[in-house]
Amino acid sequence: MKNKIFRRISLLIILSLMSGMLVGCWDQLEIEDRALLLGLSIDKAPADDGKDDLTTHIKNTIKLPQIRVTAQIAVPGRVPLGPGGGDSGGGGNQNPVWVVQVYGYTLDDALNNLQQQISDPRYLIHLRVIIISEELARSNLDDLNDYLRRNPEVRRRIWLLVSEGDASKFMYIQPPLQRVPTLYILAMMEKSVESGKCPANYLGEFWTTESKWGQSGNLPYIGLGDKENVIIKGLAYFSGGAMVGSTTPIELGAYMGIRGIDPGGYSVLFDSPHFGPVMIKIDERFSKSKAQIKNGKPHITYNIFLDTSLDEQLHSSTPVSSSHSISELEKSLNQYVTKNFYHAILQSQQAHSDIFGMGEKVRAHCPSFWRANIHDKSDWERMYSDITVDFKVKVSIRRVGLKQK
Amino acid sequence: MQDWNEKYLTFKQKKTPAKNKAITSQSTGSGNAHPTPQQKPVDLELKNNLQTIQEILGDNGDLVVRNFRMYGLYDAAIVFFFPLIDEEQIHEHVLKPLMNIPSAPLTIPTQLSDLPNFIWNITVHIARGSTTSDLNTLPISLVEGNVILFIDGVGQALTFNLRKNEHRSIEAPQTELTIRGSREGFIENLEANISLIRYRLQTPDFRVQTCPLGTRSRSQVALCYIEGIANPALIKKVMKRLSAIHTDSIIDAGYIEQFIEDQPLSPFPQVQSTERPDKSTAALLEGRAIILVDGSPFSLIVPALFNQFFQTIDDYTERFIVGSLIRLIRLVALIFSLFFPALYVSIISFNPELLPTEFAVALSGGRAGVPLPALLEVLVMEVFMEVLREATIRLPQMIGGALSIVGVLVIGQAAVAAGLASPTTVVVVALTTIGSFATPSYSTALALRMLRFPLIVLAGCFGLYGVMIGTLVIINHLLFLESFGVPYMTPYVPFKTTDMKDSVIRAPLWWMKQRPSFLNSPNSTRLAHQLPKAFSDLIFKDRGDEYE
Amino acid sequence: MNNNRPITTFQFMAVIISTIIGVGILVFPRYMVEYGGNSAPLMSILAIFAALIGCWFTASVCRKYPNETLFVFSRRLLGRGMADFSTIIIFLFFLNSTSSNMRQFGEVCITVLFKRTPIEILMLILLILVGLSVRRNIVKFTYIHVFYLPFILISVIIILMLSLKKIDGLNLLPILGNNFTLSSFSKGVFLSASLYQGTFILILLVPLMRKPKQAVKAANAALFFSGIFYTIIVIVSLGMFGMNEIELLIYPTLELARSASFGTGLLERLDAIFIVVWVISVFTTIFTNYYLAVYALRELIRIKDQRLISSFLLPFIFVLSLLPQNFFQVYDVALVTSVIGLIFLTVYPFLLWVVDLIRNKGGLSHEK
Repeated sequence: MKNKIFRRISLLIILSLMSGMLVGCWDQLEIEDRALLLGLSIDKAPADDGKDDLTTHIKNTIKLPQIRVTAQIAVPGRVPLGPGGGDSGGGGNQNPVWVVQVYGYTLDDALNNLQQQISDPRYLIHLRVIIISEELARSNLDDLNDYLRRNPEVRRRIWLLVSEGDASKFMYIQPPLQRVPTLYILAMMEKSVESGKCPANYLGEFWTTESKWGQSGNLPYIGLGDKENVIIKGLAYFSGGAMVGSTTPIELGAYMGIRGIDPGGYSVLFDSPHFGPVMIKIDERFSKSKAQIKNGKPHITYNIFLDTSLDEQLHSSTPVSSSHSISELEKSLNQYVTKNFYHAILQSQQAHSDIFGMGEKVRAHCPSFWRANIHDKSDWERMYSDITVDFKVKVSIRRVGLKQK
Repeated sequence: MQDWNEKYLTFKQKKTPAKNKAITSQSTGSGNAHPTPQQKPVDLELKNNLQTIQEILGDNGDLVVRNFRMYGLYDAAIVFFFPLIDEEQIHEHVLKPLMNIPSAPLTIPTQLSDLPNFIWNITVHIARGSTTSDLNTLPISLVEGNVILFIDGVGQALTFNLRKNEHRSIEAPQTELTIRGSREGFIENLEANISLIRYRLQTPDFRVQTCPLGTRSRSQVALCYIEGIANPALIKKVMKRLSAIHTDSIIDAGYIEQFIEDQPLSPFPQVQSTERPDKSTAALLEGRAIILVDGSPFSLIVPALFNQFFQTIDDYTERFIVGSLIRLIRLVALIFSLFFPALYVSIISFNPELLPTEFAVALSGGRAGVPLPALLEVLVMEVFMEVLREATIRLPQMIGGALSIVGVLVIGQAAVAAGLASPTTVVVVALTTIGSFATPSYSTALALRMLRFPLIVLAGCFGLYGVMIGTLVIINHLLFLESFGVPYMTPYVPFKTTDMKDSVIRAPLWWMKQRPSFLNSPNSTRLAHQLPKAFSDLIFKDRGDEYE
Repeated sequence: MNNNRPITTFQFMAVIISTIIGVGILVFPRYMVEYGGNSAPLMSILAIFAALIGCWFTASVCRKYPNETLFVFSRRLLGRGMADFSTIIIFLFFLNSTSSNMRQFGEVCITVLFKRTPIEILMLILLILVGLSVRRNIVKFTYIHVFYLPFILISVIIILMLSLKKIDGLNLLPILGNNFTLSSFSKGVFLSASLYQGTFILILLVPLMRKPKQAVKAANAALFFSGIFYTIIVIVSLGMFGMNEIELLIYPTLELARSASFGTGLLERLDAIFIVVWVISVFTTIFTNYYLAVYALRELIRIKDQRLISSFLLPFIFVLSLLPQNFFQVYDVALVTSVIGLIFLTVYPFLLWVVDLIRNKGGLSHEK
């Protein structure tokens, strides 16, 4: 009898607790009620533009440079469901995204200001692209990254891009290929990775390399073409947490060659001494390296193998038509490519930016040297300028296409 | 008159199998532990007997008492309920020989007490029947479809079983359609059902234990098993549970199921009911027992495990590779119908980051005009779907099919157009419903259909976490469940390699040498014949038998 | 099965493995890297052997008394007072372990999955689920572990496979780490070893094992397997992120899931799914701890009613899990108690083993 009562009471308690649970759907928020931020661009605020929304702080208490954040928010209903939205009755003219610009001292501050302007709660869960201006990148990125690292909504596979000039203008482009501008930039980056034009340097990758002592971060560097198109202009490289320079696209190719990132996507147009100007397409890259200490200084030896194919030859008076001529061409190509590599290394060394991760090789293979000399990331970045690098490049032309002579 | 309790007791005591049924019925007849009234001898006076019978049965329009003069010598009467009896047979086999005045009257015994034996031996051409001197059993045998013969001056009554077997013809089972299986389904008549099994199972070891159940309905309940294959402990358990049923009526096999299952509070069926004799036979051969009830076209298979509920006879009749694949697909459909709406709700309202960005943007567009949150939207649509489904079962067959199409297409389309539901929701609900039809067992499909709703609510409250918790509750429950002492999730847990051959996949028949081990069959080897030499031979070598 | 010793050796191992793999997988790489840098994989391998000591003693003592649980025969070996005192400690330890696991789980959920849902609710749901399951007997207890084990393993393995191609071998070198010190290395080994206390569950399983003679071997094998599993997690996350990055991450294994993707952008953000599947492994771990606590209390106050004790303990565990004030306190408390647990659960079986050896010089003489 007693047992029964006890059982009933406990059952009642459990049931009432359960019903209490059902009342609150705390985190439930429909997808269309969320303001999905698809892309962000971050600039330094112009000095005279002293806007302050005062959403997170009292006036004049924060002494920080202001930033300007431009956000692209998806507008539900403007993007038709499914393929073939052509018959939506002129809906194509409507902009599927809403671009909002806000100012703030930090990224979070700016996003809070943004929240003051839009009705739905903002969500970064579908944030795919963040573009920062070169100016901002050259100051410091660590403050920005802190918020992005803490927020669980942020993916590690976001594209963080450095833009030439103003970053906000990327938010306003209206590409004809994609309905949503950010998705155009996203697709463009993803496809350039697939075709070997750009390393897969996602935000997470950038964080990982930045936190390594023996490697410096790098980000894709983009620019705006005529009006609607985005160009990959090279690689922005960092030292001490700030951007120190950028490469040209062909140097980006050299970077990928040195690191052995596949697939090879860059072609080399080079004026060979015997055969005239030829276009060589890099198909596959393979890189092996060794670190050792020579004369108290790290010395890195790279063995790089490139599988290439002949794409174009302009003056066909001396055609590349025999095994002999190919090896001739390979030899001169070797020299040219090696020069290219040295050039890329030299540039990064001058900027104290070890984007190739040579420090990691030293750390891994010469731990005693590392322990004795390197006590901070900056130690290595300083030392990086002085190390010596050796290249052994082997270019092989495997294919010449359908043309015999 | 035996009942299940006596049967159980005798079965329990039965150490030596030599004792046959006739002996046990006599031996237990005296030990009546159950509330039958005391014996009352059949009176010598015919009139008194008829009066007693009429008193017990009251005023009945269908009770026939026919007085006649037997062999022209003795006063006699037959009593029967005419709707139960084949009158043709009474005329032919009872009245005609009894009323016939024999040409040689000397053969008729002069001793009244010899008369019953004489009737049995010489006159009546009826197979089933008995002689009794207990008047109290007679009303029961009357309602069971017997004809009772009283003879004036004889303290015994003769009963002839002339029950009219009126039943529909055997048709294809309605609820379990197969492609390659047999086209026969059980019908309401118990004898016909047993005959359907017996002709598939021509073994002398096949046992049918029959007893009436239900104090009022006295429905014949048959427990079938194969001696030497079914584990006696199992049969004992089933008998014990059957004997524990004290109810006034068993209208359908479903009644029995609810009385004998292990855990009545579980949504999952622990007894498998089937309309198919071939399935029942296969179950018998695995070492299970089946229960048939007169008046129900379903047989109950015990023990029934989760594994059985997504298997059909087609898996076995079809070749094993395709059979296994189909079974996998069915499992996918089962999981799908249970989880899909819940996952949809939790992704829409908790974790939209799981969707690809383009799709998420488009989806939020599709939902933009819908006033309800995803939880309510899906719940409303699912309930609507269930209502529609239930309605189509009740509808006359002619319009049922038409209405379901109209309902799904038109109302779904209209709901989207009216902004009540997003197109994706309609797709999800439709797919779920279709998926739930792929589960062959109706009762399991029903359980899963109903369990979908708490999952949807949990998803609406806690997103994926809620779904996971709900799943854990369901799986834990399944793991705790037992059917007649066998863990419900066998052979997955406890894991048994040999039994896994007939689980999510269906191994080739020649490879499944053992009966399911969890049934502890005393004769566990199913297959004596040698395997094809090696598996590789089967695949790679040309089987050139026909040229040799 | 009418056998009264139904637990097979395989099931025995499954229980231990699924118990050990639990809340820890999310933070484990960070702990290891904090103490050992690049030597983390080495450290976690050595830790297996450290944990094996306690496991070996426990299993071999239990094997000598294959018909009773440790709680029962310890009374005979040590006397009532002593044995009951140890049972109290065992009870308190597993009670605390249950609540601490629960809280760690809650912390992960509110940081990653839920922002506004109260942590109490999230924990309570799981706690009630566990509390209801604890009411069942040990055979059903094993069924649950056996059934869930594949799901636990597969979910982690999928994440590891997806991350495998991004591993940079350089991150694993040098094997001894760049800042190797013996003190922090041994500390790390010790800490890592404290992860494997789930093996203690074997004391309840041995009396029901079909072949109790295999207990020692099976327990060690299970421990070794889960140790290797943990080590692989460490290797993969270290190889993918490098030690400096891992030090910055609170849940490195979760970040593995966050970085993984099927295809390019087709299915990303696997962390939500991973967390949800991880609930299973949390469930099994808490289940074991709770079960041990309930069983210890049952033996202590000598009541047979497991249901009553299970419901009785539930509010205590709940309150206990709410005590830590913030995230860091949660992990500090967990660390301290688990180290205490490691010491006790190694020393106590050792003590029993020695006493048994002294009392019965013949060893297995009383085994039937």
